[in-house]
Amino acid sequence: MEQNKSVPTGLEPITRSLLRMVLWFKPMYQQWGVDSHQLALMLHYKLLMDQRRPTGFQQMSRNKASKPTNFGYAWLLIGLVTGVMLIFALMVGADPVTRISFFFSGLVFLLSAMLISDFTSVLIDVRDNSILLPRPVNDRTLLLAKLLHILVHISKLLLPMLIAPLIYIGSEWGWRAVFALLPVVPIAICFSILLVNSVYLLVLRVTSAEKFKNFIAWFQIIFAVAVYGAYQFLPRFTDEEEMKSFVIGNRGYAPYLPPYWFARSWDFFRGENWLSNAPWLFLSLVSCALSLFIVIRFLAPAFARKIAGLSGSSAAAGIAASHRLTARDNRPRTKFSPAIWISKWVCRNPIEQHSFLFTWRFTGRSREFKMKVYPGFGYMLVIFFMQFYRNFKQLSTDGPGFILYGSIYLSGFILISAIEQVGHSEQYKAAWIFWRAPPAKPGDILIGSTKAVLIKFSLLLALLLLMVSTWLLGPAALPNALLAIGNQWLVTLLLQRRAQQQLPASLPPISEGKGSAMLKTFFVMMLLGVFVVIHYLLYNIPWAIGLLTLLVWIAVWLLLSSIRNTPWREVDG
Amino acid sequence: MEPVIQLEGLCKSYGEHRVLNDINLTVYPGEVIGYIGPNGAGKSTTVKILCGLIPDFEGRVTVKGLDLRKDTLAVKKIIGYVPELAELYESLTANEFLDLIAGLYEIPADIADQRITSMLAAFDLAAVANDRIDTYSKGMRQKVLLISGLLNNPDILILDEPLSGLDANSVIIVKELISRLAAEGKTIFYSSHMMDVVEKVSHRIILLNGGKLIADGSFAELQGQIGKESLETIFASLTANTGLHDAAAALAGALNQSPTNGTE
Repeated sequence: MEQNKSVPTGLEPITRSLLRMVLWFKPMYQQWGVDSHQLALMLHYKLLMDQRRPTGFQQMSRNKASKPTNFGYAWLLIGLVTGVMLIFALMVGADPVTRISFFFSGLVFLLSAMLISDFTSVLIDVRDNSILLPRPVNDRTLLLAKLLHILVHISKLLLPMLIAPLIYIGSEWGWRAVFALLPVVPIAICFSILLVNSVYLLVLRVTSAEKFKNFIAWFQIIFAVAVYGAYQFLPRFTDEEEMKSFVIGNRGYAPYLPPYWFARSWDFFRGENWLSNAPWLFLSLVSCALSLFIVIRFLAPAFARKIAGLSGSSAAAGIAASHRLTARDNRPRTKFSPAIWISKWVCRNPIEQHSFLFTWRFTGRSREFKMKVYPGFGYMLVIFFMQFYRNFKQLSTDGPGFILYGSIYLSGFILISAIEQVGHSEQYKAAWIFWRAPPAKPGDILIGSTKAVLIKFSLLLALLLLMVSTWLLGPAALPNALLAIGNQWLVTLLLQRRAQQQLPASLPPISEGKGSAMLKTFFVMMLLGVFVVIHYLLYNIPWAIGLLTLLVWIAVWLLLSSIRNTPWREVDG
Repeated sequence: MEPVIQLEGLCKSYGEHRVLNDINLTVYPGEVIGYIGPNGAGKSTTVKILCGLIPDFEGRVTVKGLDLRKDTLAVKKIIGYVPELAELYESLTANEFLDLIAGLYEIPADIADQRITSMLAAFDLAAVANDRIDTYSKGMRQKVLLISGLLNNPDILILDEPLSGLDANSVIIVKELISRLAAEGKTIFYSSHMMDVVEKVSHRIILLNGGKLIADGSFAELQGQIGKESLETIFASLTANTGLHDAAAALAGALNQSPTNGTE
């Protein structure tokens, strides 16, 4: 029977080669109960879709041309640059195995970060519920297709990242060392994929679909903060000389670390200590095959069942909603809400108040908004502790000084990122409600939304820092703290008050690589930096600080007034 | 005649809430079943169970003699499913998307190509077959979905609001198609809220309310039993908890209320 094309067409040459490589193991997959024809077909089309979709780095073309368009080779450049960072890991340690162990640690860490941030949507693509699940595809085929899809895609992104480290390894230990690395890298990739996905699949097995979505969101946020914290703290807590003389093989815990197994496997392939290195290669291979087997054999059935419940329009969600309708009939309609209470104090009219409440709720409930903005709180905590750690000696002699005001400025990064993201949403089309029966001026909607962001993402934190500053430094700290808050708001409002303003949740998600967005953020950060420097130079001159505080708050008031008077033609949409 | 679908004591619960309560149903080849009920009645749950998407149900479901629990994949092979408001892989073209679906049913390439080409042409999509689906209108997407449900030449076709977004001409085509497929002995499970269409296309109407089967018969039989003129009025008399006229009056009245004195 002639079936659909087994040789993929339309794929980039690199993707096609990688796909062929993962399909070499078809006989093994078939042994596990996987339909290899369906597997190849799903992989082909999923990879084709990836090619036509921008990655986080690539710019989304808004022009939906009728011809299929592919996205260029931006991943190549980004990968090359990221690869240079991995060279630093190769500089830690006294012997080659230690240095390669650190390299693999960095690689596994980088891969896990990529998997968590970019590939969760591949594993849990709700479109599959109505497209793939009703077809005669078994659970194991479906799950393996997803895992191999991730493997091919991530391998493609990884190739340029390896170029710089491979050149470094070649120059340090010769070309034999480079070739020895090539068979070990796929093992490390498989290990990372299985590590992250096993956690997901295990959680999916014991929890409900809705809770799982929240778990992923918080997992991503905590991971991002952990990566940042490790990056900031680790180099400062370790002694440079000690790092240079470190030999991982001498440590008792080394055998429990997979990057050490990979390093010993590399040592095996470059022809060193064959006998003693062989068990480590064996361990690396077996652990990968075994975990893949466990994932396919035991976690696949629960996976297919649970992702069927992930769609927002699932039967369970619909039924639960209709059940709630009858159950809630006798409950009071509303309970005390801080947002409503605050909105009554700060908003002038009903339009402004409703825009305030919409933005407050959107920023608290939208998973995509939380993912982009909430890690900022974690980053801030890390930087805050770094500041105190670095300046501990100065603190004990001179007191907290400018550091406290500095932390108010730091909290500004959260505010800036919140104000940038609040205009964007996956469900941006729902913003038709603002345009359907528009008020004469959009200013009330814009000001309500801006106030919600200012209060939620700055004022509460700033008040806390203001109290800490006043408590530690006395009443004299008040003008300085007020100036810091004012500067933070001024920069944020300048960002908000630009040529085209944005109604809340009314535009498609920001593409991270978009040049204008990056330039704008850079400009805002520079501006805030200039304000910080001016403040730092003057913070011991009370009259200057008093005057500046007054001027800055007048500017804030003027900007708020100008946002209120924005005409419709200046609104983006 | 051998039944094509048999539901025996079918129950399904989400947590403490029972969605389907002891559904017993026998369907024969060539029947067009109008499967109707108010929101939350359990229609989608029944359909998803039949399509093998919800495995943890109570009771017994057999499709053409196959036990759905044991032979899920074999059942999926003989069912065509057109879900309501379903998503598509929008970055693929219609040709590519349908090629993927054909491949998953393991339809030989030459047959798949011929079917895809003919069906796209019949739905007037031949000229845009190589355009990405994200450039399609709502009606065009619905046509692609309908083709994807028919592509495997299923013995049982499950349609959930299949006319959504279609223009008047396409509606005529689909209605005619349903009659022809039924005449060939295929079974059609037609779930919709459009009572006038269900009334016209169905041989037999099954009404579900609160997870229970409350009416089963041809339109003429239901008319005779309940004494109403249209399916819409039969539906309302069997499922509405409160007077629908009162509800409409309450909605209109809400516009004239003020918080202080009740009316303006």
